Amino acid sequence: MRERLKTVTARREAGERTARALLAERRTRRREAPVERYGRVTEPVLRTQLREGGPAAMVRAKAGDFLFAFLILCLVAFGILMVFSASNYVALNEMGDSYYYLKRVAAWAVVGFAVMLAAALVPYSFYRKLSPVFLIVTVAMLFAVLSPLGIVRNNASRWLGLGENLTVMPGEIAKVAAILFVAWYVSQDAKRIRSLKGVAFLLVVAAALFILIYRQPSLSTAITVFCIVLGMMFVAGLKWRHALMIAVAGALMFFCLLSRSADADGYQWGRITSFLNPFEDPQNTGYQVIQSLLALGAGGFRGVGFGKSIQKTLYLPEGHNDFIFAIIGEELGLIGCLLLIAAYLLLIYKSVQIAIRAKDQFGMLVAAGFSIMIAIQVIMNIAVVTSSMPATGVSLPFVSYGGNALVVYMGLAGIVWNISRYRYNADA
Amino acid sequence: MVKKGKKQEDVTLRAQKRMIAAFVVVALAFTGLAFRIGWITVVANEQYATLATERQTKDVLIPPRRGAILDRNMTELAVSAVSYRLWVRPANVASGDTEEIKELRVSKTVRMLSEELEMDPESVREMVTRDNVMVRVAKDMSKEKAESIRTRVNEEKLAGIEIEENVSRFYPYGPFAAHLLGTVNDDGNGIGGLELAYDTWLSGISGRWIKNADPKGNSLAYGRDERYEEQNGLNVVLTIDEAIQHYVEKTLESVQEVTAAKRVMAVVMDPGTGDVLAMGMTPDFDPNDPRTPLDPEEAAYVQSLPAEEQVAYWNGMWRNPLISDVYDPGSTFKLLTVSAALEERAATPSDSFSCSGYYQVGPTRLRCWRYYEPHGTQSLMQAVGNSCNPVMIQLAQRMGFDNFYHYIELFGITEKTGIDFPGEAAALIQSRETAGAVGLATMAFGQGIAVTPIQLITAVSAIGNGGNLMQPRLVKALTDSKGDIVESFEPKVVRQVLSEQTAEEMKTIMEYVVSESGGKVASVPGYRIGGKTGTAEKLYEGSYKTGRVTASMVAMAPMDDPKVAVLLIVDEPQGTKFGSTTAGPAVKEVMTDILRYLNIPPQYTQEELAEMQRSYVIVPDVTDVNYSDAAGKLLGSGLTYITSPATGEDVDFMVLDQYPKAGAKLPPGGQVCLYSE
Repeated sequence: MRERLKTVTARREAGERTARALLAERRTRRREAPVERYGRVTEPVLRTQLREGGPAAMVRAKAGDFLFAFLILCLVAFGILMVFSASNYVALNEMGDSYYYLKRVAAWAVVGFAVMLAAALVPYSFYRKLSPVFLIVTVAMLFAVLSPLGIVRNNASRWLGLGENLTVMPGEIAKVAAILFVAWYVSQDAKRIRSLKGVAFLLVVAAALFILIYRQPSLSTAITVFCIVLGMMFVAGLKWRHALMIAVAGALMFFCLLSRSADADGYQWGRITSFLNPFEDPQNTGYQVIQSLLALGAGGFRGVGFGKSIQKTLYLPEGHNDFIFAIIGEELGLIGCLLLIAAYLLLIYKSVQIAIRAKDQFGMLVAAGFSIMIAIQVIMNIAVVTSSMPATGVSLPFVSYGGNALVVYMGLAGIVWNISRYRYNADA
Repeated sequence: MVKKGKKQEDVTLRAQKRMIAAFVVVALAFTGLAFRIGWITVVANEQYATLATERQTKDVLIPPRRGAILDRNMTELAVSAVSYRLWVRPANVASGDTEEIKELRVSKTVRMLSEELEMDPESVREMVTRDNVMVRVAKDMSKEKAESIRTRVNEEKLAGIEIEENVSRFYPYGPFAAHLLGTVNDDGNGIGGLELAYDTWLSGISGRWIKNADPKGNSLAYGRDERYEEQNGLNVVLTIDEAIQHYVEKTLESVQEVTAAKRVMAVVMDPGTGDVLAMGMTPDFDPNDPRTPLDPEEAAYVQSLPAEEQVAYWNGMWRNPLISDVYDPGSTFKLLTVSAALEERAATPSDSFSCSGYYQVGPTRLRCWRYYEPHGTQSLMQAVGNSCNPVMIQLAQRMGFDNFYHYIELFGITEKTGIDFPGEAAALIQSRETAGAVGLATMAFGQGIAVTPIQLITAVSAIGNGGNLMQPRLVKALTDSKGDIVESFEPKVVRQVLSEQTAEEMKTIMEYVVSESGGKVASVPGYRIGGKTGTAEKLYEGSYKTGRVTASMVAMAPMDDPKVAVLLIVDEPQGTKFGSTTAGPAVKEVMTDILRYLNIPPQYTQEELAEMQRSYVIVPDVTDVNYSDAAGKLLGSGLTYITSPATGEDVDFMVLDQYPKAGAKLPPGGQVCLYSE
């Protein structure tokens, strides 16, 4: 493994070479070492170039990582189906239209696909320069959301927008902004991540984002953003010493917050640990989780069949949203759950691979940030649905209903797709 | 350069290693979650799946339809019907964001309801906008109406309208045979009378519908859907004849009016089978509204009682005294004494007895009722006609304790008859050991013994059917909802009490009593009627001397082949108190109606014919004539009329049938029944 990584790294460091020379080298290498089969390009390979017999014609340059894009689209398609199945009863009851959520999720998916394609076509170096600006705009939006401009739904001010139907969630955008910003900040100067000053700066940015989003309130999004930043810092080369300091400081803060909010009989602690046995508090916090467990339990190994969930008929709140995994479990059983988890793991593997093979550190960190975001959300979502952690509203990326999140994630996926186009392609 | 490259390489390598490490952590977390899901869905799924099933299914009981109670000719006396009530929730009717939308919804609802229910829109609007949580707009709606309203509610997307299904017990004739039929509680279970006795058969078996539903109870189009059919209750076919019951109740009411008695009751039996043909009493109650006495004053009184006393009052009101209470049979019991004596050959009908106004039993002198004018020398037959107590004492003494008690037992007095009715009482008889000579003597003429009316008529019926004690019965068959007989009950002979010869002799004596002697008031021209009256002083607050009596008469007809036995009891009549003067005319009235209804042709003696020729009225044809015209026609002919079912005076209708038919002959003042349906 180490040897192979070194080889790839060596390639990246090799500097400018022509495609022709590369081809010659590869021929030689093939003869000499048949195992070795990596090529290298510096620019995205476009059809025109291939037609013109340009430099890219000499490598097996595809339009980026096909499997990665394919997985994204599969998840989105699967999500549309499951959102429809999980929401039709609720939609009929509350909106008088079974297809209410289907229509919206399908429209958002079309928009998302367009955004993803567009993002994949723009060289990702373009975002690099914009990253700081993007962050500033995002922070401004986060402030705007807290101001009377924010649209309040369910006691939370998470939306900005023109009218009821076209709204954006700055919280979701903040995830992308954070990823791009950290990637830009770290790749600008390799020393930054190794210095206390740089680490402190990133932590301040993360904390600022956390507080702004937490105030909406949207604890789960705040945690996700913060964890993305921490994860990227770790990948970027955070010193173990700093990592330890962050861990200790975090633990201290956690207990401080806990003891401050806990009342005499430690109710807060009880709320946090109630996920261990949701049946003790079936009316309040336990209700949704109980319904979720019942859905999974009713599904069993094989599931009750697509479209045949009963928990979705108003038993399980947010069945098409944060708890869609429970409905998937009920309808498609353990088999469906495992296949979906495998798909996510494969997606994360592919994006990690893209990160590893990325042309530069910015690209690597953006792809890594994407992987971390997907991993955190999937893990937290499934953990909540299976009552393995305290309940908090995290959506299942690409699958849960939610137009903003879908477009934002697909846009980011498009950027990662673009990053994959600047790497060496496998021959076979 | 090399150094920088090396450094760069290290940085990248570290990043890659860390990414791989992070990926491994993520993969482990995924694996952990996969196991967690596996645990929930496969290992521990049973408890979750069970809980889910419990919450997701609704188990609806489908109530069976309670069987009907029919008379012997399949006339419905008690039926169950599903009716629908319509409720509105004013707050939900007027849901909407703006006043205009609210007003639009309200007016749509008002229009729909006033059209469907044919009600005045203004009054519907008043109900729909009332400041209540729920308002009942209509009750007793038909199924079709309920369905059409439901359809329109869905089509027009109206809210706040609820239709409630109700199974209610309906007694079409109202206060009719109420003590016999009994009544049901709000759940439709019998709580008295035949409704209780045959509850098991009437009630049927509930069906179940197990269905997946959402938390609001709406059925889902998929999922579990299991239906277990309900089994409707069986219909109970009574031995009661609605027409005879009707005659009896009509007579009871007039007796009640004339005598101002505490209560008047009667039972009619077919002596040949033990079938109870009618059974009724006053005051009656309406089983459709069993908790409200018919008399408005009484109803107000019950309203004022505390809850416990109300229950006691109701139980008293619902009690069927003909089966559940004992009474003093008085002289009617002499029929049993004489039968026993004849059967034991202790006497023959022509034996001669003498009455000196009293009879000495040991140190006690027992008076004859006509002690002031002793009966003197008389045959046994005459003695029964005279209702002479000393003769009865002599008969009992001739038989002795053992035989007397033996016959009381044979006649079924010592045990319950076993009639299929809840709460049968047992007779009060002095025990063999403590009765003593005086006890025996008084029992012989029907004092110091209390029996249930059903016991007495059953015992007397044995005389009418050639000596067999029948098991009295109220139900002859059970039928299913299609009307097919599921089970039929046959008349049951309990035992032979008397020989045919004795029975014949007793019939002659009974006929003599009515035609020549004490019971003459009950004689009906053209029919051979036998009977015996009785007047028993009631023990009231420890004394027999309060003037409270039970006057009764038992009668049978026609005596050559008795088809009907009647026992009519007047409890505490005011004014004239004798059985012959209170019960006698009533028995005559009932007998006349019943014999005519049973189409038993009268056979007139020469004198009767001559008597009647003078005063016949030919019944005019009033069928297919307006009620008012028919009434005028009948009154003009010197006849009276009643309508069936009873209608108010001001309700006009077309007479569909009449009884007796046109051309029949009735005595002046005879009654013609006009049927409106």
